[in-house]
Amino acid sequence: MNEQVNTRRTFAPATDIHETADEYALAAEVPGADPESIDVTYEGGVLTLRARTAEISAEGFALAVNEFADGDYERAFEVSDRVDADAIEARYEHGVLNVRLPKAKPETRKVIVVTS
Amino acid sequence: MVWRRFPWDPLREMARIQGDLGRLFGESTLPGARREFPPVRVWTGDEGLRLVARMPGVDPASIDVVVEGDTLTVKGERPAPGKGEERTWHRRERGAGRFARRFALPFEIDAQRVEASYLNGLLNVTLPRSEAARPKKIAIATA
Repeated sequence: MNEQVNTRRTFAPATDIHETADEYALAAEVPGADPESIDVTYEGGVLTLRARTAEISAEGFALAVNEFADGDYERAFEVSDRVDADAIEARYEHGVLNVRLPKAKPETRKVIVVTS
Repeated sequence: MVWRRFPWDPLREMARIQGDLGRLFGESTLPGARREFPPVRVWTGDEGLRLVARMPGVDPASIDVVVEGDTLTVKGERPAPGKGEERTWHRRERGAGRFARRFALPFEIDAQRVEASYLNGLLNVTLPRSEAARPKKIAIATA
């Protein structure tokens, strides 16, 4: 069995993160990411973003200027465990991955009756 | 008489002229000055140029691609994150605001046939060479 080795470079996308009263919001720059390949997971207070890109090339042409590198994206962020994981939303637009993490509602106080 | 370096590299000329144009328009030339935005990849061929600019998060309505004489200009705007509600910033790594970048073209372009598209944060521009500027294969007459 052949092992698949990933020889592509991986970049950490430039990201803005802000917090409001109701949510955390992230915007990560992943230009060229294939929408099908975008992977957003949240576990134990950590949000992980992954995306793959296709190589940018032009058949029949000669490369003359190259100011950026091809590569995939990956980055993990410690957010908070006070996030409502079921309500996390992600949207990919114009090469930017926007993730909204609504904060969990404060836990209601539960009173336990003692039997004796 | 203009002496050209041999072998003549049209794209090195392009980068040099671009540097000159940059200085003309007031961009910083200090070492460590921020790299140009957007970064590009450019290819040349007999048919013309292809350019890809990596510019995520740009308002598509603000994108302007203009070919004028021997200059290509790419302009646009990255909207600043909205104000409105109270925000606490944890990380600010992205850029925002208007940008403009000029490129000197190494050969004549047919401006009427330039095409551009913006997809997934990448601007793709196809610049066909004008007919007059295409390399012509010269038939050798043999006696």
